[in-house]
Amino acid sequence: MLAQLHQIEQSLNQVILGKPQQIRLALCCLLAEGHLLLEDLPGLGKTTLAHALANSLGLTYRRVQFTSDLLPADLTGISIYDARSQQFHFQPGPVFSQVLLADEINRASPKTQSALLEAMEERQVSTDGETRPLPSPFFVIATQNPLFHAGTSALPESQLDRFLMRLSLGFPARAAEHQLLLDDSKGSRLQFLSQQLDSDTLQNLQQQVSAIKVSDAVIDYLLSLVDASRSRNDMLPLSPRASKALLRASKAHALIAGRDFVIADDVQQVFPSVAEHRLDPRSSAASHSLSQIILEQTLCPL
Amino acid sequence: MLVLLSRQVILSFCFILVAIIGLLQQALPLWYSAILLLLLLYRWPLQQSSPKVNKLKRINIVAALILLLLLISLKQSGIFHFMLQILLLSAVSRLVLIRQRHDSHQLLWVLYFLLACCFIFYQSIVISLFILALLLFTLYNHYQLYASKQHRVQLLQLGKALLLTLPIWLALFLLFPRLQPLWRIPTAESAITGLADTLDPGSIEKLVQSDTLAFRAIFNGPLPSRQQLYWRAKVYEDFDGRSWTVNQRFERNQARGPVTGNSETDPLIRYQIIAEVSNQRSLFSLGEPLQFANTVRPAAAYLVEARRPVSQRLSYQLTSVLTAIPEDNATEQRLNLRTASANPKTAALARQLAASADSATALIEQISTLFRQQPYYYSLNPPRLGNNSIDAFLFDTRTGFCSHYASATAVLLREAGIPARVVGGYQGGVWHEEQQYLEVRQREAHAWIEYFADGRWQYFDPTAVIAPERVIAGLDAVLSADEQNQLQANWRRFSAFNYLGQQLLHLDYYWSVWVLGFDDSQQYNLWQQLKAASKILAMLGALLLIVIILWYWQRYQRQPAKYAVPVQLMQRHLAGVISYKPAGQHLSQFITVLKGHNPAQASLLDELDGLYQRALFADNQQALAQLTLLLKRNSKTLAKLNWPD
Repeated sequence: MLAQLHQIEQSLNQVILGKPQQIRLALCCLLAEGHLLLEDLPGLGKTTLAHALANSLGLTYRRVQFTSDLLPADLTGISIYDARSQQFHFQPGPVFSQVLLADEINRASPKTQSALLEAMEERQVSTDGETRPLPSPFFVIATQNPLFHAGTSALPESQLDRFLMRLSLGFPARAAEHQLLLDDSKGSRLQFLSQQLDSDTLQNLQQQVSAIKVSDAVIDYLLSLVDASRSRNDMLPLSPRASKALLRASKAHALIAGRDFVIADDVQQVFPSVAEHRLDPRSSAASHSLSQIILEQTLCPL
Repeated sequence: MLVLLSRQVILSFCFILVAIIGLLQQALPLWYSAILLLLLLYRWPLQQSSPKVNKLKRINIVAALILLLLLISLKQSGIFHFMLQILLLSAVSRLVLIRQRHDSHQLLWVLYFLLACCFIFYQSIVISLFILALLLFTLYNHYQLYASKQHRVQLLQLGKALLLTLPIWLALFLLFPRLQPLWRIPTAESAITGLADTLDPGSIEKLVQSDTLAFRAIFNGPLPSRQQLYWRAKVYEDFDGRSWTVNQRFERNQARGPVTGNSETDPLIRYQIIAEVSNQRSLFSLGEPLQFANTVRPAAAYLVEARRPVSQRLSYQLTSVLTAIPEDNATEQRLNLRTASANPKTAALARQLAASADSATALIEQISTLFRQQPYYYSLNPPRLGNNSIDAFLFDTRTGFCSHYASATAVLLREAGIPARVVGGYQGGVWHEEQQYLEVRQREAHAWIEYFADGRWQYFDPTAVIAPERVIAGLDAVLSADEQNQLQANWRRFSAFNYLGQQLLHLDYYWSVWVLGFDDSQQYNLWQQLKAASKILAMLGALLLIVIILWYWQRYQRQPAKYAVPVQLMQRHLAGVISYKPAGQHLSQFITVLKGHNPAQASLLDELDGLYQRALFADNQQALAQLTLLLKRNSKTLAKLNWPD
């Protein structure tokens, strides 16, 4: 099963060249059943990565291009009056899929953005006084442009907090871009995806993540990292939800590394992606400055 | 590891060394101090010089030349000072070349040793504190060389370390046996202070103008009245017509006759004296001393002297009886009848007075009357006298200080056929009620006479006749305002300085009693007291031990160990390099870096890392056992791991 996972990782690396670390973290996020936010300049491949991830997980996915006039009902679905049966009939929106690709999420109005809140956290949607559960598993993979770009409105802190990780791909290395250009004629890079997980395997892997062992020492270290953010006034404090997210992400990282226990390195690897957007919502994803400060200044005795 | 010394550290070393050279001034000839300072200054030109110059060779040649000079002057300086000089030479020439932390080791130890040597030369509290401060400063610099970067934490740690060693200091001070010194400290050619062996007319006036301390006295019992406080220091028996000199027989150590004082009728006085440095042997005593501490010995004319010239503060215990002094030696009377031919008018007066007096007491009475009725004056600034000093004083100037009256009286008595001699010493003193000690300064210097009557040397103070207040209330009571101003040092006029100076003196007193005076007899007393209280002490100690154990046990119960077992194991075995681990780095990452620096141990480190991770993070007991074993087996290899700077 783990071998399958590694094959997927490899084929993803074929699609997005030269970014093994980000790909591993993205997989990590999904194995930890968390929502993923990709932030980058346009054209750096974030939508490609989102597609590739959704594809390779073997899940049904729907893509929504967020625009400023997108309405909440466009996401959740609407009830339509069926003249024949003389009844309202609920037409489910794109949110009712296993993976929702929310492209350029920060171009939508805050109202629409917050419509996603309930879906992301509760995994259910309430419309017309009725609560409808979302399919399982349910992921939101969102992409956004940096905040300074025209026509963007920032995601509120509460919504940012619901994304397990925020990742940034950044510019490819010269060699990787060289390869990219060489392969240009061969069509979409998504064709390199050879492997797909099936839904059962994914669920199985997610259960394995829960079963990863965590020693007291690691939890102590994790808590001292979180505590460090709470005792300073140049950053927002990390919430218990953040520490839970950090632990799950660390566990998933351990699983991908082929271990059945979490080590300090797992925590340190996932910490910037999990913590940075919670420490400073206005920062760009490429900067890890605050989380790096915490990592460097917090004593790691392990 | 190559660590360059910062400018600041080198300047600190220079400062300490210069301070030491200043402190050890007594052991160093002036030319040698100058050479050392020049050599020290040579560091800067040498640093600028081209790298081709063989600096070590140069310094060695210079040092060898200086050593030769030292050897030549060895006879003058003595072996002890020679040792100090060599140590200083080595320290200075080390400092001239020093570049790296590695080289500062020997220098630091030599600095510590030299600073400790300074205590041999100084005992006063102020300089002791200064030396202590220098020691701490050296320690701070030593610490700074090796400690981590944060400044504040470093001082805190240093303070903690010092605090921890405090009980050891105390225990060493209280319990370490007071051994006799292994070497004899050569007597410095420093100036003799206090009364000299020769008493000129005018020498006491000069002495009285000095404000320095002569000695302190502590009485085991009530304070005797001021009129009894005649501290005898010197007995002058040779007179040449102008000045009085100590007779040579006093240079020899003479056997003491049987104790003759009548201890039943006359009260015994027990007292302790802390004598300041005088660089002479004569000490101070009241009346006839009966019992001696073993640091002093009896001298002729029932005086007390030290075994060596007093070059360090000396404390001794005496028991005296306040009677007339017995005859010490059969020749004493004859010695004290010798007259000089220089004062013919005085001789005539003496004969005239003797004719109408039938006893020594009557003659004394006549002389008193003479001083009282004729216009004689008491003054701090008497006119200068010629060679026939007694004639000039008695018949012309008629103005004099205590030594004038004493020597005139003694000459008059001798001319009249009564053995008499001049005694030099101190009269009175300032009693400090709160601190319970008597402070005697040079300004209390005094001269009086002893004449032989009824088989004993009776004391008579002519000053008490001419200026009775001098004896009853002290010198200030007799002097005019001008003369008082002349005596007082400028700073003493300001009461705040006066107060501070007095407080410092009291502090100095406690220092000399409790710290310097803590000798083997006091140590013995302490042991005796400890022994007497041994049962209670043992019980208290056991109780304390139980409380401590309980406290620790409770603490241990309450809070788990700070780190898990594998972490502790690794920290212990990698102690040599673990301090280089950045705070945020985890151990596995650190080991990866460590492997880069120690390629030979890469496989061992890999194995350790694997076991460590399984033991700590997976809680694998088997891995923990293997880790313990592996660490134990390779502890020597691990202790030698390299870390480049």
